[in-house]
Amino acid sequence: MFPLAGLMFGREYRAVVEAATNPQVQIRDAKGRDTILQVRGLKKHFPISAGFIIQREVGAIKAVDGLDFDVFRGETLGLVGESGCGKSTTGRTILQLYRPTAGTVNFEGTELSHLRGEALRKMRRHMQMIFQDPYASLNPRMSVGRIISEPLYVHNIGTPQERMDRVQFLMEKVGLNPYFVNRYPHEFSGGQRQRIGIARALALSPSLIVADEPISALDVSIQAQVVNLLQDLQREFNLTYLFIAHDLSMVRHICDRVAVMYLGKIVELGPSEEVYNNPRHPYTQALLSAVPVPDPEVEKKRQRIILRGDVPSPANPPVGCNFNTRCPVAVETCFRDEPELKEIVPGHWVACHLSN
Amino acid sequence: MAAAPNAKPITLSEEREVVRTPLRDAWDQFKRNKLAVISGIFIILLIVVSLTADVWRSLGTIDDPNFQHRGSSYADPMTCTTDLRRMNPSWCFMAGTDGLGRDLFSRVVYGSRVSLAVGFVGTITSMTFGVVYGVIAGFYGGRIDNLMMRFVDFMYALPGLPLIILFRTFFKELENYPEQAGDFGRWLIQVNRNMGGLLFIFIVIGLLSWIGVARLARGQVLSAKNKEYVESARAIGARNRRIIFIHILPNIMGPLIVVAAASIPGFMFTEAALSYLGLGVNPPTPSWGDMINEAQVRGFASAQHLVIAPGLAFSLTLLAFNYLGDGLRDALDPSLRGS
Repeated sequence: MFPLAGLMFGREYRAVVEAATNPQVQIRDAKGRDTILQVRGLKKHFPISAGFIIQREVGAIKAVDGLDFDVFRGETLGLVGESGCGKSTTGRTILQLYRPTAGTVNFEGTELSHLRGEALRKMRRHMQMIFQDPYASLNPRMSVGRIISEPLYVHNIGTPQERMDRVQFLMEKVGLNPYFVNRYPHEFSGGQRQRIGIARALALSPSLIVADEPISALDVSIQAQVVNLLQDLQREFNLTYLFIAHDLSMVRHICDRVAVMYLGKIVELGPSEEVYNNPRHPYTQALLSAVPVPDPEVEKKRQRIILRGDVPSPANPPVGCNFNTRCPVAVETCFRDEPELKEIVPGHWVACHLSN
Repeated sequence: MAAAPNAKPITLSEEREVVRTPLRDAWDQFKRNKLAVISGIFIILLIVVSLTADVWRSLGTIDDPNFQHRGSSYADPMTCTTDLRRMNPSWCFMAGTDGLGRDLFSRVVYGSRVSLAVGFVGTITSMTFGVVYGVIAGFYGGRIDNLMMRFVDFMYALPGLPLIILFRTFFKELENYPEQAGDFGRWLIQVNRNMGGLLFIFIVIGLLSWIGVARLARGQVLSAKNKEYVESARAIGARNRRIIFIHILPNIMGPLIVVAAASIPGFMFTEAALSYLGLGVNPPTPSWGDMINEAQVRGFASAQHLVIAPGLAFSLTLLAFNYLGDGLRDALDPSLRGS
């Protein structure tokens, strides 16, 4: 596909990478789609401890409380929701930066939640992360060249010259002048820094990239550039993105499917167009009604659904449906039973008692 | 948009006009502080002089600090009337002599060795133990952290100077009864004797000084540990060792160096205080604190020059280290600037 691929690493390395990236087990769903990531019952609770010297656990912040979803190879799955709903925790727990409290994360046939130490470290090569804050995610004491080549160094790939060639290649790919290889992060703008972060995530040719709000810290004019870059790279390197965001129109623009989260749970999951045009869950409806429409005529007639109250504390979520404290259409069942995530239309999953 | 096939390969060293490393920025900032630069030069000169004291002595510029000139006790500065066979006449008694007829200027020069040694060895010991302890506690966290820091709290609660005096008294007594110590103890006493009593001072000072550094290092590690670049290093697959040495330590080094530079005068001061109390280095070894003590005991009301030379040397050195510390703080830890 790419003429410099052989130059980049040398034949031996490519053989190793191919052997490693080729999944031993391919998981396919009913429609025969290749599932790269399978998350089942994922929970992440942060303990609240109290006490002097002897710490007791007095409760838990249920940041992520039982997620089930698949990510298919080559797609972009958007994860949206308001602040504090557990989007970022989900991304970090999938990458095992936080160890899950319960549940399984199956990545290319490997169960990640059981991996420890060296085995996990080796797996990290295939899944990378792009961080939200480009000002905090680059070590200020390392030059750009060292930052981008660090993944190669850490995994002992290539000779120093091969690594530098790879750095040059990546910098060109993400639209940075390779001449700046010896500069330090503080000499770059936010957008350029985010490009450095993207180049670093690409260095090991991963198959899955978790992008944790990669554009929300950037200026609007830069956001579009970075999003287009991410899309170009996805096409070129056949990447799979788990795209965490709170900007709904951006998610609609780049995501194939969308999962809407509320208080640690997925309330709706489906193809982007389906979810945006035909939202089934009252929370999704409220969320989408808040998106402004760039047309004054439509905007005038737009009906907003205003949610009352605040998001309940994830340390003490309500009984029954999570959303019952703010739901405009809640009925008695919602205060008693927890709704399951059910497939209403093929591919469109909703967790609401009223949606059937 | 493939790379141009004939593009020059980029290497790390060449082709950049000015590489603005964080260290270079710090150096430029440091250079702007004139007082700190002068202090740095003064300290370098002091180190050179104290290391080359024996050369100066062989040239006749200074005297053997322990030689007692007959008939010259309490000689005033610049007097050249007495037994001067050991020195060049033009350099005689620039600061006068003490009650035993020893040349004060030579004693001040040789005394700088004790002060500098205590300052640097104390700092190196406390930094090494403190940083290792603090980084382990801060990085691994949880129960280990809790246990280690409670021990530090316990040490912190102990009164410093009384404890130092207590230990120092114990060691002084130990030196007098080497037959009661074990093999290792006798060896220590021998080493200590050869060092003029410095070893036990190092031990006593090192015992308590690391706790403050440990606390600081732990706090710095805790804040650095939660930075996104550390998380990104973990996501890349870096091992703990690499995260500590490449991602955490270089980023917390600034405040640590600042504290190290600021603690040097503290150690010198402790040594001087011990010497002043008669618990310092063993008698013939010249030390500034000891000389000031002697000046007071022997009554500097009648011979003021006894206190001027060591006092001046001591104050200037402390001042220089303090200004150097300030300059380093401004250069390496901009968040603390002006505090």
